[in-house]
Amino acid sequence: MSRDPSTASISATGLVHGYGKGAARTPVLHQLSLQFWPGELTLMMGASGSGKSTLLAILSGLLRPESGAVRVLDTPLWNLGARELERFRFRHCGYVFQNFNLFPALTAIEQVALPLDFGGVHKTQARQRAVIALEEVGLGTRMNLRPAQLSGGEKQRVAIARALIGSPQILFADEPTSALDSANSEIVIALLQKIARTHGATVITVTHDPRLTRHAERIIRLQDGMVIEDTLEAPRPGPLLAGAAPAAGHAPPAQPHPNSTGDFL
Amino acid sequence: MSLARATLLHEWRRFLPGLLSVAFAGVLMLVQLGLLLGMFGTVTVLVDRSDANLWVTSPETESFDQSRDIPANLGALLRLHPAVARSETLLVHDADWRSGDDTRVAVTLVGLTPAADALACPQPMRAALCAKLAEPSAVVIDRGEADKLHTGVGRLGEVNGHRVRVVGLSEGLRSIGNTYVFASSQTARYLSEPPATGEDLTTFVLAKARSDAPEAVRDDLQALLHRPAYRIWTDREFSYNSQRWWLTESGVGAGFLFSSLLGLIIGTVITSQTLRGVILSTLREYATFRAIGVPAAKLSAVVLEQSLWIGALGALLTVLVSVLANALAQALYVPLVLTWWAVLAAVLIGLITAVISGLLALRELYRLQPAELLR
Repeated sequence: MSRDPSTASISATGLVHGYGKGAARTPVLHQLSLQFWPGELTLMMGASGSGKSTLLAILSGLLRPESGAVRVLDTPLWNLGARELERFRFRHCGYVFQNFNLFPALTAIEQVALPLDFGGVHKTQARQRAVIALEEVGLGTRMNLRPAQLSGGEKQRVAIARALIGSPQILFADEPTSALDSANSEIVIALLQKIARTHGATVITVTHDPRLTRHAERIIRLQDGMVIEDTLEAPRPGPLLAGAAPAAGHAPPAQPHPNSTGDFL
Repeated sequence: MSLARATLLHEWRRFLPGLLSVAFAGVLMLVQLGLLLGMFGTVTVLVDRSDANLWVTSPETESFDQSRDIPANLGALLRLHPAVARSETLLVHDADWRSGDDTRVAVTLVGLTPAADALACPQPMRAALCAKLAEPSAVVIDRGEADKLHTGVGRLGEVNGHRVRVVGLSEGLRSIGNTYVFASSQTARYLSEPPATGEDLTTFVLAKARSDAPEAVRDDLQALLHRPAYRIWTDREFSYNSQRWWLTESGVGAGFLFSSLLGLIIGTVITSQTLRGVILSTLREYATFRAIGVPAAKLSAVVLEQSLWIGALGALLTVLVSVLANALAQALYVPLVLTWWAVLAAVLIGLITAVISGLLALRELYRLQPAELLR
């Protein structure tokens, strides 16, 4: 796996952000610089208020930083106009949230096909692709059920299938396992890992959950808006990945990441 | 199935208040308008249901209920015009009714030619009742007013102290003010208080012009009769002018407009709150799609589609309830007029109300910041 900065899919430089104004301003990010590579599942961990969710929002094009730059797939994200930014997110990014955020009225297949429906893809084609995405997350037999008929883990897998349907190069996940038990958490994180490996996607996951670390290629720990630890891990295969060999070139556990340039490092 | 329709079906209980409020506002408007048209229709019922197409009144008259007496012999003058086939008089005077059980009610005495083909004989009385009025002291009242006068067919009563006998009950001839008591011209003259003096007076002179366009005949006759002394109308003009006077001058029209507007505002507020509630309950889902990069306009289309469905279903309910209300009103002899243009207007207003409600509710979508999902 290359660590060449020029091959990074996301490069953030000098990110500064805070909430409030004047004397009431609370700084959240301090001159943060980070890079992310395709094919990697990165966990961003830290206590509440450490700035990890703000960082995810800025990297994913949902929150404009006060200063600093973000390049995603060689596009300077925050130089784009609002409409261009929407289009960019639609083409290249997928999102998975803590609360699944599924429409109660729609069946799993309708939920997954919906982004394509909004994108103007023909209904039959959207359904075919939704079937493939649902089969990929192991819900091939649960496609016609509504959220009320699905377990928490299944709902999150529907949400992952929905994020996958546009074949995003970048996948952002915010606390995807915090509402799930350990068995379902395992399934979900293994899925995210598989997406990074098999789709070559850059997967960035914000989490509190220490159980997930064994699946990640890289772990970034944040504290008070600064990176305090950036390590490469040797992920072990999850239950859905049995037989899949770890990618070659991974750094040994707990080795400092050579390309992070957070303030702390 | 579209997201809009799937959500409507799945969460119909949430949408129901909005749908009902659209329907309620529509029914309120249609029934009020129907009652208003029915009520104003009663002002001109004797004009609309008569066979005459020319009416002569006193010059200051603006509405059917305002005419003062004019000479009855004007009819002979009208007949001088070659296009005028026939003319008649119609006497309309206030009177005092007393029933057998001593109930006293103010009534309007209507004196007309007692013949089935008389110009003034209202359509519902042509079959039998007008001819029956030829009997001395015979009167006809409307079925819807019989209870008010404490009387019925074959019973006796008094008009201005003179005995009369009810020979029949008409239908659909209620008056906006006092109850009509129909009698022959002769009987009416005899019953009038004070009794007719030397000059032979009547309230209206009616004529039937042969032509289908009585306007030209009206102009000829107006030139002949001198405007300051008398006023001559076509039946349509007289009916329209009378109803317009009631709508604009009586204050009833303003009351109708005010309460209809109130109904619409209430309908809009409830519908927009309903839609807003539905949006708020699925705000995270909408925010997810904003995050994915779906433009707010496309999500707005979902809400507007829901609004249109609510409007369409509400309008359908309006029509159904109004048709039932109309049937009920007819059964109870309440003058309610349901016209196709009023129904069409109610349907359109229902749709517009729902769409405006949807547009108001959209504020929530445009206020939405997908980054809030990551807090």
